[in-house]
Amino acid sequence: MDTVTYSHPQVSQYIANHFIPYKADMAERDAWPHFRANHVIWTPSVGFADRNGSMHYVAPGYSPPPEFLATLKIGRARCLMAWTRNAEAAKLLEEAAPEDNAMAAEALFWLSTAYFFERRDSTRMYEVWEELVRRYPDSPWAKRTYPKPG
Amino acid sequence: MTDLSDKYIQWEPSYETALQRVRAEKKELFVYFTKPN
Repeated sequence: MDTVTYSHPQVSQYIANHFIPYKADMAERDAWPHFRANHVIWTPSVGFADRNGSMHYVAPGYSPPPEFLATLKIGRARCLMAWTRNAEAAKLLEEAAPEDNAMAAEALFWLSTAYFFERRDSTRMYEVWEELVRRYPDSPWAKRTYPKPG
Repeated sequence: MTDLSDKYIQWEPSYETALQRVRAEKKELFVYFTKPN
């Protein structure tokens, strides 16, 4: 993560622009409660929390820069959605979803939920689900959708 | 503990100050869970 992902200019810039970054280092005793409280059992992992410190998204393991940038957007979106800022979340996910990388299917899934929560309207949710199933039929995220009734 | 990520990311020195800044600057908190190599 350190040599490839954090050194990527877009990654470090995105973190600087949109997050306050904190490193929970297992070597530091003060960090241990954060591992326990957020059920983090693997390093590296990254987590995204709101102003109350509530963690809304955890991504375990290494990510190359394109996937990590998408993870940053999904993590941010999940925090915003917890505070019903669904339109802002949808914009972030709209940025992540078109990228054809390993996170795109998940970005599409959360985009569909942001659309649904934004207006309590399932029309756009089903449209995104159709795109998700078309682009990534074998992904676990596509398997979590169901066809539009009727 | 210093690691290579310190070259690229300005980690907040403590969780408490990180959360204070999250509130003040209306951003989200990003936590990197790591351990020494």
